Formats: sequence, structure tokens, C-alpha cells
Amino acid sequence: MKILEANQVTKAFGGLVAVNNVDFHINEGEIVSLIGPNGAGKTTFFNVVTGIYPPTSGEVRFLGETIKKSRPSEITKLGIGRTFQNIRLFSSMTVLENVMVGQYCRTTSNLLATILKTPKLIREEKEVEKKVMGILDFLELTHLKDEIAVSLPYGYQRRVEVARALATDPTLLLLDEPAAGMNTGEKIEMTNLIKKIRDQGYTILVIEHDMKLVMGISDRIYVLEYGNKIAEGLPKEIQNNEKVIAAYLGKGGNE
Amino acid sequence: MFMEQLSNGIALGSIYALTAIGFTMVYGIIRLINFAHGDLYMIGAFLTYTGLTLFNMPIVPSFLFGMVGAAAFGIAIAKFAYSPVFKAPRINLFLSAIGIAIFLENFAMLIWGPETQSFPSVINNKVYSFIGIRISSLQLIILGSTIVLVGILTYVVQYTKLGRAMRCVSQDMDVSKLMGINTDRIVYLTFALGSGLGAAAGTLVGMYYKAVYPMMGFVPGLKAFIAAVIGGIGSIPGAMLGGLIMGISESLGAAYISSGYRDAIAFIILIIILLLKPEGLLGKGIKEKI
Amino acid sequence: MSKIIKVLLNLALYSGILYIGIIILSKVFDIGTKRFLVFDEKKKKVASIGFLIFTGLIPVFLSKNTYALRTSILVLIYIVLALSLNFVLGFAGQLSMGHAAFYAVGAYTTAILTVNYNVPFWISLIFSALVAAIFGLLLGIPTLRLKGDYLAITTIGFGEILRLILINWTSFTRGPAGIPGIPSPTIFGYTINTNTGYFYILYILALITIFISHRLLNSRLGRGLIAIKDDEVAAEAMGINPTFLKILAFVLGAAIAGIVGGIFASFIHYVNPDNFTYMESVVILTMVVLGGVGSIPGVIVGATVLAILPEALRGISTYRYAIYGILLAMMMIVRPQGIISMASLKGGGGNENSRSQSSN
Repeated sequence: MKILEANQVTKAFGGLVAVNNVDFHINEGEIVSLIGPNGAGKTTFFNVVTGIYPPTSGEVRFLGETIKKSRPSEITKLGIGRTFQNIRLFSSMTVLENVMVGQYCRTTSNLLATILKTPKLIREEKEVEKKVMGILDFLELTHLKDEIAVSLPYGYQRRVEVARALATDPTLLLLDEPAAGMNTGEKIEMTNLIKKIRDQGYTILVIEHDMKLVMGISDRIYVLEYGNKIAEGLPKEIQNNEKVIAAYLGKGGNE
Repeated sequence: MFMEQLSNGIALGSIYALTAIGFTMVYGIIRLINFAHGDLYMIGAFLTYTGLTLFNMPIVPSFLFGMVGAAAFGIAIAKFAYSPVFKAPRINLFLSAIGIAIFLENFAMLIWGPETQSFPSVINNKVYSFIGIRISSLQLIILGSTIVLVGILTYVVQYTKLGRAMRCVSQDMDVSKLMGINTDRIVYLTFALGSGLGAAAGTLVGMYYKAVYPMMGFVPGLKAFIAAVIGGIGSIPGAMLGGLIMGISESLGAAYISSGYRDAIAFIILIIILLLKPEGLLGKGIKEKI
Repeated sequence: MSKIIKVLLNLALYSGILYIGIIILSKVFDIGTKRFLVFDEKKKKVASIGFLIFTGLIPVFLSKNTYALRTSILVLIYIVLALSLNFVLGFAGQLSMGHAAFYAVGAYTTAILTVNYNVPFWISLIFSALVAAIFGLLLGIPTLRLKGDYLAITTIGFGEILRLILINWTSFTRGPAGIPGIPSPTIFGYTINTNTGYFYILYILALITIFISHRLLNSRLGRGLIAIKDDEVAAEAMGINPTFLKILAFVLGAAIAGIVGGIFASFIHYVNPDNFTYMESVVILTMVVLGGVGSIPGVIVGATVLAILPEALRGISTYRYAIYGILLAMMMIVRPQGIISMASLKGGGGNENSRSQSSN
């Protein structure tokens, strides 16, 4: 089943065509990567998928429904969770609190219930905590739950971001350059982590520069250059695709 | 009546423009809404007043004394209150600026007293009238001084080495530093220039209304900010345009709508601009990259 | 000339004292917070109840000293005001500088209803909350798109416009003359017109406000608010609708400021526009910043210190606001996270500043 589907999506800013007529889909349970050199239109495509920019033409369908231009919060509610390439954790919160925020959109307690601490609220808070502790356990973060999240080492911060995204109960998880700024050891951990998450039944879209990571985890890969899709296929096919090699090596290799 | 309000509005507007330019310059360099700018305008007016009354100097040296003195204040503030928080979150810098503004107002009260002081008449105010427009010599002086000062400033910013360095710093401070520009010096000079222009505006207002008082800078400071936002914050021509728009709409509004709500007009314009065209008439929008 | 030197010397002296004061207070509360955090639940409870009993008995201790009792009433008023601003600034992270406007709306609502329409005090107090909440909504909506300093200036504008209305709409507000003769409240037929009575009304209001702050902070909505304050973009990506929460914070903060405004009006029996200037908003803001933005105990300490300070400085009252200004700027340089920072309450130590940079 196709979780996400983009049909002939074009996004232009004035005269500049950032994404040109791209077809794209992700099947349930897949890890799909979107790669391309800097300025290839990856981020724009990402923003079109998440409804921040409406496409100039074409359409994006998530679980069969067309995504219209909407607030990011609405997209999250539909079931698309995301991380950020430059980590954006909540700086005054502990790890536990950061991840609990992810459950915000799945809970409903209002102000009155909050002040009166109704039984429903207590139940809801307990459920949230249980769920979040499950996620922390799964990502091996439990021992850090009371630390201020931004005081952790970089690799852990990335992990907390993933945990937070998982806490929004996503059907599709978008990882925006999950290995940016990581050392080799941390990259290997991240690779294993992404696979582990997929094995839990999540569908994952990765945007990444790091070829090794992408080749290691992806079921399928899409390559963008100057807004055009220049290749798609299995990692092996991409590795041997001349256009891709030219795009990367011809312009100074990957970063 | 209409023509009188219009010339009044233009005089007022050129004062707002002068104040707004100082505001916009500082914003351009360090992205700070210098909340104390209006109070430097007040300090300038008081220093000129002191030059005239205490030192018995003629108007031109007093005027320069006010400008230079306010510039010194500007540098001191930038050095002691702002530079320690340049690297902190913007809100800290802004709160520090608010603190300095409150301090300056009350400092002036301590030095010159809380009462309104009458500003001596330094020129013989005549009213000229041609083709039905009545304009006073004071209004002409305000307009003339504004044009001269803005002319000098434009020359400095566009055609001198200092101006070029200022433009570099306003675009990217870190890169400017790498290019060998002494950015600290540029920041302080910008504060000095901005404060000096503010002081000129304050003095002109003192002459126009024949009064100086410690809170005289508060509302004009806010209005200068609004004028800068209308024109597009960071843009010098924008600040001038914004100042004129504000001055004229305020004079006409006070005359034809209600004088009691004169100060409210500026804020209503601000809210409208921020909702319709937040980057201002001549400004460029900057969007955060996600 | 000698006068200028005297003023400068005095200012230098007071700045030095302030600096030392900030450092000492910070150290004391750093140690105190750490000690308190390692208490077990039972000890925490005992300590809190002890504190409540002690503060609750203040009118008994001060029964002979009317002046001190009136000061403690002012302290309570400012604690509530600062906590109400804390919903907006501390939780939602919105720099609102027109908070005195809501206080004014509450005070004038009670004044006009009780004096002109003979509405009983308690009912007019409910209206104070409602009308102030409506103003919170009115301010909240247009300012949603604004951030940081733009928001600050717009809220100043809002406060100034409101003050101009109070001055100019003389048929309704009596203009600069103000409204005298605001009655005292009655409970079960007893009229509360003593300082002790007002103390307890405000004490209960302060407790309710602390209670609401605390419940909110440790809940889903509170986490949503703090998320918006820390990083609005990331908060949206977590499915949080910032519009709703920001307006909620504005409305709640405004309503509480409105209630305390109504009580204040009755306490001094007279309101006029001069009670609600821009400086009043700045004072409330300084309290929150001094204590620690977002931190409930911090805001209480900040309000207490700054409400007592002018009374302690009575001899040099002309320096009062100059000192406030220096204090605000100095705090930003010396201890931007406030005396009791939010982070320190989570055991995160005092150095919040270095971290919060990343979020801006």
C-alpha cells in the first residue's frame, strides 16, 4: 500500500523552479531516501510533502487523501512525524518532557480539566507517561529521562528528536539529515536505530547527504538534481547510475 | 487649515524621519530595536538646552554640543549595556535596552528635574506665506536641518570607507570581521551617528515646542520605531518615507479626527502595516529557514 | 555641577549595592533550591505548609504596623500581577509590555459597575475578569503573527491606546479626574474594609493563581506552551497549534490581572488613569525577569523584592525608577535567567543562558 504519493509535483518560486514534475511514492514499511547535492530541491520537496508549501502543480496524497496547504501541526495530526536537520529540541525541558510534548496532539485535556485535575486528565497523563517511557526504552534513553535534553551529547540529542517524533504516533516518519554532524560511530548507531524503527512497522523517509548511511538503510532511493528527479531505484542501481555519479562526483563528491 | 496642517505635518514628519534613521541604522547593524533611542533624543535636547542656558553658548555650538554629547552617551550605552549581551538571545538585548531607556528618563529627572523646562527662543520666528501655504521660519529650519543632515549621512554611508564598512557589517558581521573590518568600532560609530541624529531631532523638537522634559523622548521613540517599520526596518530611505507618512497622518488625524487620540494614530498605523506588509514599504522580508 | 557629581556618585553606589544584592540573592536561592530539591516528598510538603502558615499569619504579626501591612498587601497584588504576566511571558514566551492595561480594565470595570450601577462587588469582580479576558483576546489575535520586539512595541501601543481612552472618554470614565468612592466588598453581611480583610482576599487570590500556574505548568497544555516558548517551529511539528495556546495564555493572564485590578480598585477606593501607565507594565515585567521567567517561585520572589524595594528606598524615592532601569539591564548581563531560573528547579543548575542561545 502506498503511504505517500506525489504525482507530477512542481513547485516554483516566481521564475525559479525548485521542484520540477517529480513523481514519488513510499510503500508501507519501506525506508526510502531522498538524496541530491546541495540546492537540489530536497528541502523544498520536503516542505511540499509536509504541506508548508502548496505545490504549483501536481498533488501529494498521504494515505490516499490529498494534502492541502495546511499548518504543520495539522500535518502532524494526520500522521507525519518529523525531525529537523539542525536539532530543535525544547531547550528548557528534560528528555522526558521533550518526548511527552510529542503526545500533545494525541491528547485532549482542556484548561478546566487541567486546573481541576479531573480523573480523565490523570488517566490521560498516566497513559502519556507510559507510552513515552515505552519509546524511551525502545531508543535506550530511559537512563537520561531527567536530564535537560540540550545538555546531552550530540548523538543523544538526535535520538531524543527521533523519540519525540515517534511520540506523535506517526504513520510516516520523516528524518531530515539524521546523521548531519555525526562521527562515524554515531552514524553506525543511527543506521541501526533507523532499521530498528522500521522493524516496528513505521514507514520512513530519509533526506540525507551521507551516501554510506543512505546505501546502508534504504529500500529505495530517489535522486534529485536542480529540482529534477534524475534517478530512482534500489541502492545498487543508484550506486551505478551514471547521472548520479556525475551529479555527485562531477561537482566535487558528496559531503 | 489643511495647508497649515500639512506644513505642520511635514515639519513633524522630518523630525520623525531624523529619529527613525538613527533607529534603523542601529537595527541594521546589530538587529536591536534600540529602545533607548528616544531617550538619547531627549538627552540631546537637554544637552543643547544646557549649552544655551548654563554655558551661554550660541545656538549652533550648543546644537553641536547636544549632538556630540548624545553620541558619547550612545557609545557608552553600547559599550556597557549592550555589548555584553550581543551574543545572548535577542530578547535579553531588548530587555537591556528597555532598562537603559528607563534609566535615562529618570537620570534626566535627577539631573534636570522632572518639570518641563522652557527652551529659550533662539530665532525670530516669522511666518511666510506664498501661494496660499503658510510656513514658519522654524518649520523651514527643521526641514533645512533635516535635509542637510540626511544629505551628510547619505554621503557617509554611500561614498566613504566608513560607510562601506557599515554596509558590510549590516549584511554579515562575522564575515566582515574576517575581512579585517574592526566591527566593534563600526558598531560604536553607528551608535554615535544614530544618537547624534536623534539628538538633532530632539533639539529641533525642543525649539519647535519651546519645551524640554525628561519623558519627551518616550513617545517619539516609539513613533520613530513605527516610522522605521513602515518604511522597512534597516532601510534609510524607508525611515525617511515612514517618518513623513507618520508626521503628516498624525497632523491631519489630530486636526480632523480627534486631538486626544493623536498618539494612538501611530500605533494603529503600526498594527495595520504589520498585518498587511510586515516587511515595510521599502524593506525586504527575511524568512527563517527550517 | 556638584549636583551632577552627587547624582552620579549615588547612582554608582546604588548600582554597586544592586550588583552585590543580585549576586547574594542568586547564591542564596541557588543553594536553597538545591537543598529543597533533595528533600523527599514529605519534607517538601512540611516545608510548603510551614511557609503557608507563616505567610498567612503576617497580618497577625503586623497588626500594630499599618504601614507594613499595607506594604504586604501591595506585595500580594504584585505577586498576582507578575504571575499573571508569567502565563504570557514565562509560559508562552510572548513579550507583552502592556500588561497594566488588563489590570486597568479590571479596575475600571469594577469601579464603573459598583459606583455607577450599584452592582455588588463580587459580581463586578467577575465582570472584571470577563472584560479583561475579552481585551486579552482582542490583543492576542492581532499579535499572533508578531514576535519578540515587534510584539513588545505593539503591546505598548495597546496599553497607551487604552490609557488614552481612559483619559479622553470622560462621559464614561470621568477622564483624568478618575472614579472615587469604590465600595468595599461584603461577605455574609460583613463589610470587609480593614487591611487584614484585603490581605486575606488577596492571599487567597495569590494561592489560587499559584495553584493554577502550577497545575498548568505540569500538564499537557503547559508543556505545549513551554514548547512554543522554546521553539515555535518545532512545537508546530509536534502537532501543537500555537494560535490556540498563545491566545489561551493571553486570556488567562488578562483575566487574572483583571481580577486583581478589581480588588485593587476597591482597596484604594479610587482609580484614575495614572495608576496604569506604561511604567506599571515595566515594573511587572521587571519582576518576572528578576525572579526568573517562567519560574513560579522565582516570579514570587521577584515580585516580593521589587514591591518592597521602593518602600525600603523611601528615603531615596527619586532614584526608584532609575534603579529599576539599571536593575533590568544589569540582570540581563549578570544573571539573565533570573534569581530562581526554571532550569534550576529541574536540577539543571543556574546556567540557562548558554543553552537558550541555541533556540534563538
